[in-house]
Amino acid sequence: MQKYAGDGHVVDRLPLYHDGELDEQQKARVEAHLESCPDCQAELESLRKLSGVLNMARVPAPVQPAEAFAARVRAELAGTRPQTGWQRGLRTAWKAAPFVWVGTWLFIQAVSLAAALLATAGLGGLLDLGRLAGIFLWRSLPELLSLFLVDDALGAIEWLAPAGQWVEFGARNLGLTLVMGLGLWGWIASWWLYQKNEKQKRFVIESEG
Amino acid sequence: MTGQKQPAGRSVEELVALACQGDLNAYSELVYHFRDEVVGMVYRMTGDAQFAEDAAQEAFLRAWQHLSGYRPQYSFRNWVYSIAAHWTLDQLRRKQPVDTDLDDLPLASADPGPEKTLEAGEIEAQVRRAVLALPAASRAVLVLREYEGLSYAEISRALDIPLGTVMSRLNYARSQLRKTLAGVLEA
Repeated sequence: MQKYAGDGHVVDRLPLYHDGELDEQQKARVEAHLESCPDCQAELESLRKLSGVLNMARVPAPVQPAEAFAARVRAELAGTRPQTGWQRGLRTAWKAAPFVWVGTWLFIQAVSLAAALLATAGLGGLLDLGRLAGIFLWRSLPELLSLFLVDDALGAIEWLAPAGQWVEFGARNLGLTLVMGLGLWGWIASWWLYQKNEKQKRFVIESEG
Repeated sequence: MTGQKQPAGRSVEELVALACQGDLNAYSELVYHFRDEVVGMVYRMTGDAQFAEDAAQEAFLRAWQHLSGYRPQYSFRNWVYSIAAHWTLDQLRRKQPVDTDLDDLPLASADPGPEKTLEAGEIEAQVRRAVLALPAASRAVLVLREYEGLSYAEISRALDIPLGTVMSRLNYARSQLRKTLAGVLEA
């Protein structure tokens, strides 16, 4: 098919022409070319024939009466209202919550581990980065600011002394993991309850239907 | 091109506006009016009547919940098509393929009429078999274009894919069909 494309033919435009997707100017250009090009005429004819054959095989779906369908949908929706914009936003946030939760946990793990490793390795200038990240994550903002204010670099390095750092890292990590794990399980439990409730509702509606 | 038929009495816009305020009667009227088209669209995508009913029901339930997200400048029918098509493609991805016995597909009409020969029936079955053999993503684009008459931009919005992807999937579907249906097309 592409063999025509570079020879002034309009084969690549023909599906657009056939589907009515060209503007008047483009359409006129294609039509002008078609008048003198048997190859493109044949190509267009082939597209039209395919559409004709497809539409010949167009069948209505063998379905139940529309009244029964509408009644079923109505029964499912009885007592509900369309969600407002903020309800939809809340719902989306709730669905995204576990991904954000786990992502945050992974991020904190990665940064804090890197901070602890840098502190242990005592990597000079890099230590500052690790120290700041570690302090920012595990200590309060006022404490971080006070470190800046007093410029007590030595004190900060002592605070991140290798042995103590790892013990503290482990303890804080365990605590954080427990808290985040509990949160995740809470979300899973609420999702399970929600799904159970939805299934129950459908069962009642189908039984009544 | 909206392809939007009007229900008798109130307009689609009026019904949608009422439904947005929680009027279930208005929404039921919309469901009643568009149900055949939505079921038909999914049926042509899957060849499974029960699946098509389920997809349409799911689409109307979701549409109700998300009515506040509907933009009246677009066709309501195409918006529900979009929800149904997404749900269908999602289901097809999860449990390929939909359980369809291609030989059991009904013919276009139970009563073929004098001019409709057995051969015509066989061609129909062959065409539908060829359509159902296409990859689901290309099939969705083809069905929305050829059977439902959506423009490229409407398909792009409905399936949430770029215009270029609509064109390439449509071209792919057509070129595949021209190969598999060569015998029918040359006849």
